[in-house]
Amino acid sequence: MTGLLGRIGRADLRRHPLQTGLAMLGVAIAVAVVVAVDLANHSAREAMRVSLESVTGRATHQVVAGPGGVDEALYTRLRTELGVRQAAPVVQGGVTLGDDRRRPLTLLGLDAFAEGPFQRPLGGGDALGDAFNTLLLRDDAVALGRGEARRLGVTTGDPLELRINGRPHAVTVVAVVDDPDDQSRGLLLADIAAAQSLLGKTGRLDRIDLIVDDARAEALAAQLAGAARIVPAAASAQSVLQMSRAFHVNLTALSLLAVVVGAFLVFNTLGFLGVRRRPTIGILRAMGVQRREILLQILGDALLIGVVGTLIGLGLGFALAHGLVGLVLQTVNDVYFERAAGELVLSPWSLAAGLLVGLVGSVGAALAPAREAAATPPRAALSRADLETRARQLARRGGWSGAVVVVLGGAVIALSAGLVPAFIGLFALILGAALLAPAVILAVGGMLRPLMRGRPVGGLIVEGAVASLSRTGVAVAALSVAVAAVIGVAVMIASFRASVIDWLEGSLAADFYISAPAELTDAQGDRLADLAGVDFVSRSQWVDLATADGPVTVWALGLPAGESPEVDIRHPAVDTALEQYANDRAVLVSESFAARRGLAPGDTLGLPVDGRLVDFDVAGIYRDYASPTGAVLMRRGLYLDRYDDTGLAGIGVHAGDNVERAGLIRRLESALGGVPGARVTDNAAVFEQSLVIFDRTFAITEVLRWLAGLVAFVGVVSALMALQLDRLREFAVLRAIGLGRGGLAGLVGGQSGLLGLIAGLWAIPLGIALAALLVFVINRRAYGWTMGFELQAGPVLEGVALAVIAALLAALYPAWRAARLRLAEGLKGE
Amino acid sequence: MADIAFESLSRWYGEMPWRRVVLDGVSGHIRAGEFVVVVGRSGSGKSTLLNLLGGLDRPSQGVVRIGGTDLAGLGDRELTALRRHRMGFVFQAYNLIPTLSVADNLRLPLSLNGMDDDGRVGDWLERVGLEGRGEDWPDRLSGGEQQRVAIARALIHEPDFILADEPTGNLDLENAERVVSLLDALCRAEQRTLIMVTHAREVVGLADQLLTIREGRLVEAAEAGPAGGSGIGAAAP
Repeated sequence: MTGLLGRIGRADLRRHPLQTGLAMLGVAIAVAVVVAVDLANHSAREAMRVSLESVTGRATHQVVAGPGGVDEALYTRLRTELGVRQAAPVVQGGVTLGDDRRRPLTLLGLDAFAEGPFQRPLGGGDALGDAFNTLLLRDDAVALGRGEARRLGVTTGDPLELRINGRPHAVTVVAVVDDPDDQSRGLLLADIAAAQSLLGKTGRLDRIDLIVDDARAEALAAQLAGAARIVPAAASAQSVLQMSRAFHVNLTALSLLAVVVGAFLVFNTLGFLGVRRRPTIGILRAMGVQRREILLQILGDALLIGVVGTLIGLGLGFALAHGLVGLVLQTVNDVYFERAAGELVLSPWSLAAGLLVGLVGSVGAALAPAREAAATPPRAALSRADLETRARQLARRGGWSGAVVVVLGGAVIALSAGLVPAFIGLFALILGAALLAPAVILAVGGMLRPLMRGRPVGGLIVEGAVASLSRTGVAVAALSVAVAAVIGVAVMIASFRASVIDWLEGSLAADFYISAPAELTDAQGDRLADLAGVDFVSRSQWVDLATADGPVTVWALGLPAGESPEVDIRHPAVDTALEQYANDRAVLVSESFAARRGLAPGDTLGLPVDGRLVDFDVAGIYRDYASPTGAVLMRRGLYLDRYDDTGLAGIGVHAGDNVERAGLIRRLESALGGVPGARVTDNAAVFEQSLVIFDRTFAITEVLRWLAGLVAFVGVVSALMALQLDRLREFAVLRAIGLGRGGLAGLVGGQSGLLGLIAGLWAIPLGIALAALLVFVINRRAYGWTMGFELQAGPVLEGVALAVIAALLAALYPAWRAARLRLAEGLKGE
Repeated sequence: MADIAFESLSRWYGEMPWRRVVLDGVSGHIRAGEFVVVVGRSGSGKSTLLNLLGGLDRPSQGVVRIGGTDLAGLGDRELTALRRHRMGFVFQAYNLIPTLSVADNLRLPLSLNGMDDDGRVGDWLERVGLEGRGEDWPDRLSGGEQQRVAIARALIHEPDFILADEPTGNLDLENAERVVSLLDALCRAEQRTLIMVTHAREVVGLADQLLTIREGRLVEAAEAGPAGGSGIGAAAP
């Protein structure tokens, strides 16, 4: 009996190949999105981790100092006087390829004799082999990993043109080291002395890596003099990984959104399976088939759909991940970590997530409809009216449940502060809105019904949509959730973009920005300030200070007396904050930095000065979208007082009123003639470049937004097509009594279009609520960013149009089938 | 009002050598206002003949003329218009639109024909004994009641021809008798041509003409009449 039952189920799937195929496609796309995003996320994290470890090795602690680095004499003292055997000096700096590629690379200077215990992939003499001596003896010799050599197109003995601090340097590749995991991507290895010479750091080290236990580290810290301090080696790597966590969580949440939509669609498709088989189930029950057997039959079919859909989805997911990993790494490189280049890294967890979504999701989604169908009384079938009455009761109950879920979600968000509860609240909002969708259909039907009184064809459109709630409810819910996601993410991006534009307009105060590969000097700043047409110059230095909690970016800003920094101070009042900022030991911190460190105005922030932590007062919090890691803004006077670093990363030139800009640029360029690689950039160009990076950063979000839309599109086409195909007999009757092909097409299109419109309209408030959550809660908690809310008609109309077009496209095939229906056969039954 | 003439009507499915002939060279003539009963065993081809006469299907061979118009010469648009204006259908499975109320099911042909209600719906509900049930959903009615709604829907727009395919097939004896009597009375009262396919030879007593189909061929075309019997249960099968 069981085998025969199985055959009945499989025959039903074969008899409805289109619906079966679309259900499989719905599962496949949901699985593909999950697998692709998970793989891309995993690959990006792996790329970052491997790259970070490749320069850290097995070091447990690091000796670091202020912006100028560590005096190399300290290394000698550590090895001799303090008796630390496992210590290795490190110099590192950014270089670029001298050719048109301008590929950024990191030059890592190591002492091969000290490297052994640290096991850096490029470090030890074993890895370098015969090239070891050459590397020691020549000051233009570099080694690199096999993967990087392949990317650069070089091999042993080849010359390599580099630009370091704006000047060209010719080096020679003396060794290509085996690097099976491509851990050394983006790295060039040189002997420490050569690296010091190339990077202009003679006599200085960036850090000294140590392998010591915590007690020994503590003891050493007490023995160190001057600016040097000891910090855990993992702090820097962990900090970068931690900061990018919010980005990865956001991506995962977006992919889960696609899964939620996919789950609704699978639920809808498989629920439809139960509805469609109701008469057969009734007969089988009358013949004595047990409920359990019916349940297993439907779940077996769901599993079959799930298995095929999952297999297709895994393949699609791998293909999609290849594209996504580039986008994710692009964002990671732009925002977090510039050496995170890498390729797709397979992860068993990604596959497991795909299998879980595809198989468990399919069977889980089918469980409720299957139980309901198995409960069909043992007679031919429940009457359609009974079915729809139950659907209406469920819709009302679902509506109340939905309202409760929305309120609970709101409470979770309001009563918590973390990112994960915010996402729980967001998904509660989505679930609640989906539960409310059938009640919305009923409400719209109730409003339209009086208008259709006496207009049976119009009534058919409304009733076709409303009276078939058992079949339309979940489809509309799924479509509205997907469209809301499309609207919500678009409004969030538009809001973010508008805020970034607002911020750029406010913070790009200078007319021109001067930068150079090497550091600029105050003398150069003075020379520019004296030029005709220049009102004043601002002098900026950016440094990363190593701390036990990871690096802190300090922005030291020098302005003439009477000028205030052009930053958008959010807390406290601008005057109060600036008054305190002018004090001796006060700083301003960016929103994301304040959020990450839990700082508020009036708090103190400990920054390393001369080897110890010195407290600075937090005078205020300013808006800054430049990086999610955040920054500390310090008066340059205060910075120079605390740190021995007079270099400048950039100079802002403020032009006087009515100055002819082209002439001023010429004068600036002329004044900078002797500075290698110096560039004068118009603030409009900086503005444009910033927006290009913004758009590139959100490319992955845009892709995921449209993927969620695609899942919805396929799903709604599947659901509505199944709904319309189920009505072919009804259509045959209408054709028989004289409704023309055009009229029938209009009817089918009208019913689908109305459902699409209801879903689209319901998606508007949900989409706006999602956007508000993303803007005011999620981004705030993930990155600490506050931003305005920019509600434009474009994304909203786009979402509604997506819903209606999807619904109308779903009607095309059934309308075509209905129009070509053989009436005599159609009237007989299916 | 018009006569229906059909000549050498054949309908087959598939091509040689797998061709399955369902109707084989059937000819006949139905006068306007007649009550014609088509009888035969299951699968004999009687429903196929009805479908061809009603323009629901096209013959593989042969001609159907309604008032001199050859249906083969009509495109889908004209054929649809013909069904809309001049025909009414009653099916064995009632085939009411489940998503429309009883009253809206009746309004549907009026709406398709651009006719106003003008109290017709209430009037027809009364004539079929369902006054006050207009706002009910079809599922809430018994089989006999649904079939009476179907009859009202077939007649409300005053078509020339009523084509009924096994209208009593799903009904008990009492309801079957009531439906047939109703159809007969309403059609005769308004001089409409009624062509009814049925298994029940009992209906023969009400018919003006009897067409007997066996294995796709017309084996008997006989004048019949009320004298032949009265009511469903009167004649032996």
